Amino acid sequence: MSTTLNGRVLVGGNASGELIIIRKPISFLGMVNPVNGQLKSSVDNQKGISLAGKILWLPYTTGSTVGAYIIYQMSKNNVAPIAILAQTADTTLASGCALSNILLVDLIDLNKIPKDSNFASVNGNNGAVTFKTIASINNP
Amino acid sequence: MYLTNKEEMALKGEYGEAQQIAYRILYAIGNGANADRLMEAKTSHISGVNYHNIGDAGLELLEDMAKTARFVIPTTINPCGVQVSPPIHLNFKQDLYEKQERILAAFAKMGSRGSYTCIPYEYDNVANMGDHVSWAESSAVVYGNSVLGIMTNRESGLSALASAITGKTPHYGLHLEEKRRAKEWVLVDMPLNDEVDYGVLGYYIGKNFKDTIGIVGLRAPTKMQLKSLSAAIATSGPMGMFVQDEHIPTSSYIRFGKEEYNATRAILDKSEEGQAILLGCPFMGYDELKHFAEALTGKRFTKPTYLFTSHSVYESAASEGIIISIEKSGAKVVQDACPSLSYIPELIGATKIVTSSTKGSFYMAASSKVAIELLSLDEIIRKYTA
Repeated sequence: MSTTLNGRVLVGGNASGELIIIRKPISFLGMVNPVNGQLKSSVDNQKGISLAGKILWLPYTTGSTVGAYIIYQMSKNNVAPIAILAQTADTTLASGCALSNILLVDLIDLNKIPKDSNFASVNGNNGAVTFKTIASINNP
Repeated sequence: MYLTNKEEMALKGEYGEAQQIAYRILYAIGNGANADRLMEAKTSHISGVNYHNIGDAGLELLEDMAKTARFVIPTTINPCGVQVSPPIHLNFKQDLYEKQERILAAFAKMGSRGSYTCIPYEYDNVANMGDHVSWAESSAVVYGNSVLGIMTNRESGLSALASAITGKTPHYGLHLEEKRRAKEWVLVDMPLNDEVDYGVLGYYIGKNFKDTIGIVGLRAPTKMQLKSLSAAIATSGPMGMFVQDEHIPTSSYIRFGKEEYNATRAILDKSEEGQAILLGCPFMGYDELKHFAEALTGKRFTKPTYLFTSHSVYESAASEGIIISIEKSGAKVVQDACPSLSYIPELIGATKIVTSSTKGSFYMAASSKVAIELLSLDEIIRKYTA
């Protein structure tokens, strides 16, 4: 079973991998550790979870525009997400992903993502994102 | 968003990594804002210079970019976290100097010019009415669009950097005539007497509206008052422009009277007797320094007083004897450093600050947790000189 949603490509590329959903907007400055790629404060009870190498869905980002530089630092430290999906990308998120060449697709509605999805494939040419549920996520 | 063949190639990396990163930023922001295309920007003004704001993450990015990126249009940058032009009046920490100077060196290598300034429209980055530019520094954006008639969106440090490298900016928002016309109006139903009153109005407008606003009822405001209004609008919300209208073409509008004024002023002004006076947020311009020097003749400040301005304004004022006459009052004129986001209160050991700036009130209270006494320049001179 898989579901494909179509979003808007802001930074191109292709990626597939484990999906992490953060339901509330986050500020990369202050809430994410750029050294290890982990969430610092308790967001959605997901404190300590690593964003490194994942496909991240979030509604949008808040807080300082310095968040863009934090995304860049994560990328240089090889702990950035491989793709970010957003409800609506704000300029901090857009410029942070653009700077770091992280695939970014927005206009992806959380309500349309099947509930137990844990894997996504993103086509950065046309904005198609396919969501799946995989039993053994470590060996998809 | 449509890209020309050349822009498409730059985005693919045909013209090197710096161009590719810059086009990626413009594409992401432009596409996100539903821009139809890129357009030429005549000049750029970049924020995100102060080490206190961008930290090591920003320093690292700027040094990486400076390896290959070069600015292709006239580009100025914001104030920084220390004073670099002598005479030095404030002793910032040495390690802060080292980091800040690396940031400034990276910008200089890419080709930034002029002085570090939040009023680029004075001396350093002069654009004419109708020019399309790419400016960050929100107070200058609102003043530029609304008073000078230049056209710019409220860019971020990174989008303005991308414009400096490419000479382009996405064509949307305040680059379009239709977005520069008011669709909502504020009726000012009380006399506004000084720059603080205009700042309070601006703070109220910025907090309550998002898009270009029409203001009715202003009585021939001075340049200084419009600057205060612009900076305050930019402080409390995302608005990029206001227009002054003669009358309201609709029956629906918001009235700004004494009640709104008092409620807004109370957010910023704690009205406690200050321990030190900080002025120049945004930086004082040549006319303001001149007015200040004249008003101070024969007077001395009873509290430590610091005025902030750009090196270019300083030089011009110094050559006319204006700096000397201000400093006879005991006030010091500081260059380069941002008065509101460089932890000046901590540096001079003050927890209660007097200022004439609504923008400065907001940022100093937020970053240095100080109590603000908000007074106009003339009131400050009356109360705190002998």
